[in-house]
Amino acid sequence: MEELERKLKKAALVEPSPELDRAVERMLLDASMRRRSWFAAPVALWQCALACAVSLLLGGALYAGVVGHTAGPKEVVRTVYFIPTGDALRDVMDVKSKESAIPTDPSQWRVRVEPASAEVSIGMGPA
Amino acid sequence: MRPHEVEIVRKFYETHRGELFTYALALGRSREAAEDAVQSVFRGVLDRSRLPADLRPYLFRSIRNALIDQHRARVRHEDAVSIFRMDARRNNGHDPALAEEIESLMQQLNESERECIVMKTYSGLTFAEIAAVCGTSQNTVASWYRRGLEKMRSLMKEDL
Repeated sequence: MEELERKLKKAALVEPSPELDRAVERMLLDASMRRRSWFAAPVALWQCALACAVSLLLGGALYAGVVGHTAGPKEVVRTVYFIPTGDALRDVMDVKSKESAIPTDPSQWRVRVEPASAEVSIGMGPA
Repeated sequence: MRPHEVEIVRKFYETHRGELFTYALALGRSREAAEDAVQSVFRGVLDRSRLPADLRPYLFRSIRNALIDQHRARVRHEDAVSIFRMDARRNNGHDPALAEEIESLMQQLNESERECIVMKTYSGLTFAEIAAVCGTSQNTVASWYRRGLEKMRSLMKEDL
């Protein structure tokens, strides 16, 4: 068997043509010159998922850090006590309006009546 | 594909071009079909984003997929090209009589035996690699190889 194998190995084989060598060489040259495009690079599914998770975390942190601080100021409620008489009320309101503590436009008032003490508060913002 | 991977492919071609071509010629039985197959499998490898893990069996398997059945059926028996040099010149240890003798013996083998002997003897593949290329077990390809050699030996004895 070994003798036959040796004999088989002695037989000369047909060689590929120089045209094949040239064609493969051209392909190799093209491939080595081809620039790797980052946009065309294949990305694994787990890499996509990881990128999404990181983006989500960064977005959340950014929102909490920037948007959280730039949110509008807390509504300040000023409580104004009124004396339950017409003239006294008018006098107090005149004074406060002049000091700009209470908006002059009554549509911006928010009125809350607290039954226990019968106190009324007026503040800015939607009613 | 990265530049260093292209270099790996280049070195592989330079080292194994003859083995791949011989295998392709044994399957395609026409020089044109064999060279087309070798060229197209290298193009396929270079178009990939990454090198296959095991380049050698991958290329042989690709050649097999490209040629098996399709070209065998098309090439008429009398037009089939041998993998052996049949020219009459006797140089560099080339013996035309030996080439003709082995070619006639190989023609007596079935496709699997012939393919297996070509891959083992002329392409230097291991039985494990041949099994991977053919999609069968190592034991099967080893038995194809031994059976093929046995047939050839018995035919040689008959000739004597």
